[in-house]
Order: sequence, then C-alpha cells, then structure tokens
Amino acid sequence: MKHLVLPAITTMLLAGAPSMALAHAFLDNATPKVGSTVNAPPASIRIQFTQKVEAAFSHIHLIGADGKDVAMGAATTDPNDQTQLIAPVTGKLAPGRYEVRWDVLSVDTHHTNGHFPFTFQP
Amino acid sequence: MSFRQLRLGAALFLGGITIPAAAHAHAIAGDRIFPATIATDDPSVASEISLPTVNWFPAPVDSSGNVPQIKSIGGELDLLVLPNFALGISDGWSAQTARGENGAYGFDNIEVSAKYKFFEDDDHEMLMSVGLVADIGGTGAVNAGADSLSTFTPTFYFGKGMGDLPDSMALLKPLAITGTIGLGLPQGGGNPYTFEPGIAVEYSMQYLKTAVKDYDLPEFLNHLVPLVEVPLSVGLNRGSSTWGGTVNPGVIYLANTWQMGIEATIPVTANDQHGVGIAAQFHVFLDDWLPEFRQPLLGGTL
Repeated sequence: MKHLVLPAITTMLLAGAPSMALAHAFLDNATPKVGSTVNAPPASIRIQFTQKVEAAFSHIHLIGADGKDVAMGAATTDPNDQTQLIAPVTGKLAPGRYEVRWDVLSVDTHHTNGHFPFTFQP
Repeated sequence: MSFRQLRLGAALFLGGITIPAAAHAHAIAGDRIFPATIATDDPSVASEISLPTVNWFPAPVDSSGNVPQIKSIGGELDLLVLPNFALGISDGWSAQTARGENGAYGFDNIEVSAKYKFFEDDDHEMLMSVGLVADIGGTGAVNAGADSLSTFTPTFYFGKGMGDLPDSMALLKPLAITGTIGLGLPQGGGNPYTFEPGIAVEYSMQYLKTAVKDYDLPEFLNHLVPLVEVPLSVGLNRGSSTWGGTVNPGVIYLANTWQMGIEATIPVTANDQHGVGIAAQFHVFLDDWLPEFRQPLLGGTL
C-alpha cells in the first residue's frame, strides 16, 4: 500500500495539469542573430521568446566593447505577437562587438535573463 | 502602461512578489539551464516529477553461471516547499530474471530527500545545494534486493556552466559540469560506509543557439544536451574498498516544460554489471504545468 503513495500523488497532480502549459520565457531567436556579424548598425533589437512576455517588466540593454551602455528606447512587445520584445537603438554604434542583455517576465510571472553577442562591422 | 500591465504590477506588489535575478524554480543560473540528469541529481531545487525512470542491465554472473537481467521502473516527485528548499520521494519496482531460475520481483525501498540550495551566481552560472537522502529500510522487497536497514546519505550538489570562458573559446561555453558528493551511512553494523561521487559533463545546444551563435540548425538539434554521467561508489570500511559505478554517455531532449533522456550504462568494473545497460527518463517541470507550483508551497516567493 505504501508504494502506491507516489503514483497516486503523481496521477493527481498530472490530472490537474492544464492542457496548455505556461512556462519560462527563453530566447528563441533574435535580430541581429545571436553571434552574427552585421554590416549596418541595427535600428532595433528584436528578441522572440518561447512564451509571451510582459513588456512593462522586461528590458533589453545593449553594451559596447568598452562596457558602456548604448542608448536604447523602452522595450515593447509586438502588437500582434506578445512573444516578441523589441527595443529601438537610439544611440550611435561604432564598429565593434556588442552584447545584448535581456531580462523578461513571462505572462505567468516566471523571470528569466540572458545575454548574447553580435558584431557590427561595416 | 496599459490597464492590463497596471493590474499585473498591482498583483505582483500586493502578493509581495519581488523579481530577483537569482531565484528560479528550475535549475537555472543566468543563461544556463541545467537539465535534470538521470543518474546524478541536478544542483537545484524545484517542483518536478521524473516518471518513469526505466533501467535495464545485465547483473554480474551469479553462482549458477547465469547473467541475471535486471529491469526496473521508478519515479520521483520533488516539491519546492520554501524558496530554496525542496522535499522529495522516490520509489521503484524491479524484476530480476535469469534463465532456469526463479525470478525476483518487488518494490525498492522508498527513498525520501530534503535539499537546500544555498548558493546561486547567475554571472558565473553556478549553483550549490546540500541535502540528505534517506533510503528507508524495510519498505521494499528483500528478495528483490531491498535492504532491511535504512541508509542516510548527506550529499553536496554543484553545477557550473562555462559561459564565462573567454570569447576565444566560445564553442566551449555551452559546456557545463554538475556533480554530487555523497557519504552513504547505513544503519546497523553490516554494510560499509560508502563514498559516492558523481559527475555529469553536458553540452547544451540550446545554450549554443541562444547565447553563443545561432547556426540555424534544425530545431530538434537545438533542444539536445549530449552528456556523460559518471556515478561512482566505493566502500570506506568493513573490508570494502572496491570502486563501482558506471559511465553513462547519452542525450537529453530539453523542451520548455518537460525533458526526456536516454543513456547507456557502461560498468567501470564487473562487480556491478556484466555488460552495457540502458537508462531512460521522462521528466516534467511541475511549476510550468500547474499554477499551484509556481511559488513555494509553504510560503516565500521566487
């Protein structure tokens, strides 16, 4: 009988699971692409996540090779796709390596963060 | 800010929810997701279910000259009860069969565990936890190999991602190492104390795509984590000093809310297995499936 405790609890838990899971928002793809080299300075940074994110609690920062922040506008989600977070690059980019740092809150309140590089080489 | 965003902000504030960078329900440190490994436990605490975990391997040659086949199926449930503290329970059922011999079937001992994550460094992708695993003697079938006496195993868990390597070593950044160091303390005077180190070396294709360079690989490949696990054990007293364990090369498919892994189990000595076995596991992150598990069960917030 005692060996039925684990399967019983597990069955109850999984039976209550919703058909559509809401999970952490992880980076799916980005523009500029992760690790890419671009020959024109990007007008914006766009990141597509694996889940919808809340723009008000999500941020994108762009860091230059000198470690200084490049000026960015506020991040917003695509009106037609809440999995896409977009932030305009308002500062001027010199050729070099840049790091995008992001932190987001998914719609189910999971928080995630990460970073990736790209290079601007005219 | 829209009304919906204001409402979410108010809900977070009223619920006392802060959004610290260093607290996650999964085994996450910065960019790094440490998958749940099959043979060695991962370094974090979470609400999760491993079900089923299946094993098959040929046992050492018995006194009749046969090689018994061991098959087992089991599961583990872990619940995050406080922000950095989880409790777990696991059990399994095994069958030992050999040609011309009576088979031995039955449940393993029930195992309970408590685990506390005391260190997380997102910048350096590091996690560390301590825990106590108790194998409760007498709860399993003795004829299937379950011990009648309990064993307590205090354990240290660690994980380190290599994302902070220099850019000249970018392709090594997806590497991570996790491991456990345990000391098995059986009750009674029969069985020896055991030193139980385990290590897993893993390469995250997801990390490669999202933090190093996106090579436009097929999406299936981007979810794979090739790994090698090495769970070992050696007796410390009572005349036992032989190393045992396996080397387990395999792969985990890491999805957003679940994962599945399969490994070969290659014995390091003939004392444990007569040949190569197989282990596989399906794993679900409960906090992604059930809203009730998105925060610790007994209070506190992530």
